[in-house]
Amino acid sequence: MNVLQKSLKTAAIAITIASVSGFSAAAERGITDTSIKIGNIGPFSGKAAMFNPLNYGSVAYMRYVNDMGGVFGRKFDIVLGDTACAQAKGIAAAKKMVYDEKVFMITVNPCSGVAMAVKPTLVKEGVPWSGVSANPKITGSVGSGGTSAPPKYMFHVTPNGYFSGMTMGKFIMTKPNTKKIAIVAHTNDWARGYCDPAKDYIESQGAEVVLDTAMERGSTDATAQVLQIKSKGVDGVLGCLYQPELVILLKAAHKYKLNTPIIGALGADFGQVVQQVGNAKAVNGVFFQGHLYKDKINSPALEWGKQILLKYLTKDELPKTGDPTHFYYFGLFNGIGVVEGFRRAGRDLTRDTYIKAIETLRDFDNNISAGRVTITAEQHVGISDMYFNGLDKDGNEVIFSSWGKALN
Amino acid sequence: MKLNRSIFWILPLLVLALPLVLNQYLQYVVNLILVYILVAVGFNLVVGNLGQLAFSNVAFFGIGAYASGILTTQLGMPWWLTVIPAGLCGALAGCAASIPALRGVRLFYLAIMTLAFGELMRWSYIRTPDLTGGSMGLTVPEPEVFGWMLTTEYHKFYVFLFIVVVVVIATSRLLESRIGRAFLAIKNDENAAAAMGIPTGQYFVLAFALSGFIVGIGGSMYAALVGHLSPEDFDLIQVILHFAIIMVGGLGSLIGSVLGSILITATPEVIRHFEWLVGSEEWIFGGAIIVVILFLPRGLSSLLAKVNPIFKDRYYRD
Repeated sequence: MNVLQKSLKTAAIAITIASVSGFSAAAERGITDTSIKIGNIGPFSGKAAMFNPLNYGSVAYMRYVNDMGGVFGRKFDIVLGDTACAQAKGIAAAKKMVYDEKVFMITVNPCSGVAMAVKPTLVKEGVPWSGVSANPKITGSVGSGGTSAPPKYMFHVTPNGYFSGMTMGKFIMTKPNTKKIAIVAHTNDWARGYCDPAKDYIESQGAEVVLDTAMERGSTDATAQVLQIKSKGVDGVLGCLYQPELVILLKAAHKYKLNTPIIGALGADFGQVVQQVGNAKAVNGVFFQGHLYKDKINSPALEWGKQILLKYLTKDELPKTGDPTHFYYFGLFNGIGVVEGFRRAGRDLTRDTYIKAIETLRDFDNNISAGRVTITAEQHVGISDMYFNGLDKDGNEVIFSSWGKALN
Repeated sequence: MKLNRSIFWILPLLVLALPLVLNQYLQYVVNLILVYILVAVGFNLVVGNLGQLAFSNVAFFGIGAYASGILTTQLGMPWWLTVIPAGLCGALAGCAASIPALRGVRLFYLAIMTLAFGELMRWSYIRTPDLTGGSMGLTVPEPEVFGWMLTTEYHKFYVFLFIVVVVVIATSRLLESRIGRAFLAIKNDENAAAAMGIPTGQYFVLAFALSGFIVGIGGSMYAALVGHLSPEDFDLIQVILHFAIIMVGGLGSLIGSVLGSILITATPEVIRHFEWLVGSEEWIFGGAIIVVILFLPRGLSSLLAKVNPIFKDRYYRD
């Protein structure tokens, strides 16, 4: 056999191998025959680092899927990127994922300001995004907090701030004789992403938001807000606050005997808030918070999730003490939706086939969330409803479907 | 090889080739460095050259960014036409910020008043949602220069580099003039400067206005670079960042402003390349600043000045 024949034979073998192993799919960035590269960005440093369990929850689910053999033989190659919850750094993190790491998609991305800032790059480059940030402008369309069609490649498999805020409003309005509501919120887009839809809903039901006051991040006292609320004689308070400030508000409310239910947004972890308030009287029958899951996070129904988190996260990625918190399950929830998209897209994976697959989710039972996930070409927010967490007078955690109506 | 000051002309020319070797991520980081160079140059005028402990820089930065953003979104002006107005808005804010100093407020009192000015402006962005988008932020359209859309980081780079070179040269010429010497005299001894006939009040206003103008232009570039402005971008963390840049680079040093911007902006991105370091950025960053300040109290520029005297800041012209 001469050199030419040898070369031709080698080339033929190479072409055959490439064809069999899905050469066409390998042309899409972030995909090889054996891997899918995922950019997982979030605040691993900075003042919002408390949100990174959301990132780790998704990581845990993808590691679990890898352990099960991956999706169509491809395993997830997860690259973490720190946004520090700051726009300039967040853009750098996203651009690194897109242009340097050449990931297939970006996921998790808590912090609405960062998500809004990275959106133009992702839309321009056609990089799919599945995140948990609240700002309705990120993926919202008409009916989910936006004003036009959803961006083609961006979606929430979880609720966005619009639906979460609406649900807060709906919950408080199921309390009998509710006429006057107060809002205490941070002055950022995350908080307004929750509280503005809640306010609209409350007013549409004929009740009045008599006070809409600010509490800045880093505040160490909520006396002024609580005394203002008290002077208005409200029937309920919506606290669109991060965890430290929500804890401060609850403590001050108890100190000044506010005796009004306080509904927290999803920027705080229910269990940790209760623990940090450290006073049963300040939370029992007073503090309620949106609950994304079908049951309590430590219930048998979600034991599978706990086992995944404990098995697939390292010691550094898990809480220093205690069980995985609500935020970890929130991340898990996102991860399940993202992976389901890959399952539905099939072996011939491209960004377009992935998005088309995500848009086939109808009443998808992810075995974790309170509601089922539905995403269509017109609606890129998967969940529009949730339950509420609270504590009864004895301090037992209760899941409510509406005011006073316990789930179990 | 003996270096001479022509290196300051050659370096920007060499930098012109960067887009040939950088991807859009790294190019974005370089563009961010260019933004912070202007921020640091403006900040250094008041803190380093005039010697006043004033932290209104973040207000100038935000005003410039929002002025540019509002003019492009509300009035439909192309971005390049908003750069000078953004600088002028910053200059106006600078004049306002100089009022306490004119009334004899100094040191920590001036520091806290100017910090409050920054917070006041942040609240103004939040409380004027019709103009600024409020808490939800303001999305700024892609920048345009003479009908040319700056759609990639490479396009932005050439425009930003041009602006930065012009501003840095102009500032250098200004500091080499009698104005720069007057700033230095006030910094060294305000009473002695006044006794020598230097109208210190006028120079205070001038320094603050110039600082506001330069930082305002930096803000306009920031708006074009980031594309989405949020009041949270202009909080106290930003003050610390600006202060760290000039402290690490060198107080009152133009070269220091450039070096500080490069180091402080690039360090987090270097850390980003080591995934096992994710989450430890604050430790490394804080530690690096402490080390630089401990061992180089006059900043990185003093190290360069030791290497070659051409890197010393000058207050005269050849």
